[in-house]
Amino acid sequence: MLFAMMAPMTLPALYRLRSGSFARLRWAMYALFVLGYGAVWMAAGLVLQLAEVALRGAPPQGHGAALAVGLIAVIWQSSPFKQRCLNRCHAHRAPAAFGGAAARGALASGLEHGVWCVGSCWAMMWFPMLLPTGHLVAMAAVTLLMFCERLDPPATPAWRMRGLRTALRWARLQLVGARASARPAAVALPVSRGAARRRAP
Amino acid sequence: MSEPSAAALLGASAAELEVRQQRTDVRLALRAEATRRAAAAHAAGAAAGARFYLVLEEVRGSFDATALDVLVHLPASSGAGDEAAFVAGSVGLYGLRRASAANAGGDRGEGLRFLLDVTPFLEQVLAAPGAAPATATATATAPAAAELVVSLRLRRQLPDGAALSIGRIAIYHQDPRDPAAPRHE
Repeated sequence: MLFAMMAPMTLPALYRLRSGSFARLRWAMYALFVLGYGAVWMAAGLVLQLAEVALRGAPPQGHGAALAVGLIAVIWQSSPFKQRCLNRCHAHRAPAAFGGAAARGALASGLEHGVWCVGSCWAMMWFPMLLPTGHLVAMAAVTLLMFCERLDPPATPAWRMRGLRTALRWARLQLVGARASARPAAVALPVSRGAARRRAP
Repeated sequence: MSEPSAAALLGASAAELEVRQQRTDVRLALRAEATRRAAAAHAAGAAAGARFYLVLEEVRGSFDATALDVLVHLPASSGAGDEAAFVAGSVGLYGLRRASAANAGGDRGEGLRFLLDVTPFLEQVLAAPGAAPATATATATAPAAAELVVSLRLRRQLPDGAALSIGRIAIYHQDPRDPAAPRHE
């Protein structure tokens, strides 16, 4: 589940490692990064599993726990804390090129990326675990949302709904084309009643 | 429009660099095998547009009203008049402060990134006796260039309290004949 859902989120970090390291060391760097990243998610997954068991205990096979976590996920998704985590997910340090420093850097980068990734995605990852049915559909939807939100550039942390801005722009570009997409939208300015009366013939 | 070709890392500085003085010298360790292969690939691909690039990554600082000259293999005892031949390029630090500043969430800025074409300098280095072989058929046991000395020269001295740092200085070889993946080590 972890690797299926989180693999797309590691691509920019892996690409940064790829472009900044020697070809001969590249696979070792990937492995160390994934080790660090996976270790953080395994620890987080254990906590989420324990919490899932605790929540499932009360009404077995009900939707109540999933709804509660879904609400928490929506609140977290729109919070400035989430944006801060997303910003940190975008930051990739230049990797050290040689020897032990390169290995330590790749592992540290995996750990660091994992921490901010958990901070960003924990609530959304938790939600499908609590659904009595439809896990796969929920997992696919959550993975798509997590992938889309990484397409958005870093932003100032604030309360707002986020996740689909860049993806929707891209989709619009594909559907209506660049020319139509670039055309400024008609803006309806608010007109006061008095002004409207004066303009009327 | 063609796809950008992959670039192969040849060498890099060992640690983050603080620039405080008018001139700062950095030794970039070059990986022998990578340099040797790049030299061979470059000899075959120079006509097709293969280039060497020097990249200043994560340049951060609090003073952007200056410029940075980048010189390659500048002798330690050279005078101001002799230095022009060693200048690989100059970068203005306009926007540095803003690119380095922490955002509202307290995250440090990514800084600036500069890329300079240093092909003529690397060609000289690789052609020097004892450096990497210049042809693809040359022996793989020949010693490769071990390091490249890059000098950074501030056009205008930093004021007291101002800082300038460079996360990494790296040398890349880019061969347009190889759009998919670098073959160099």
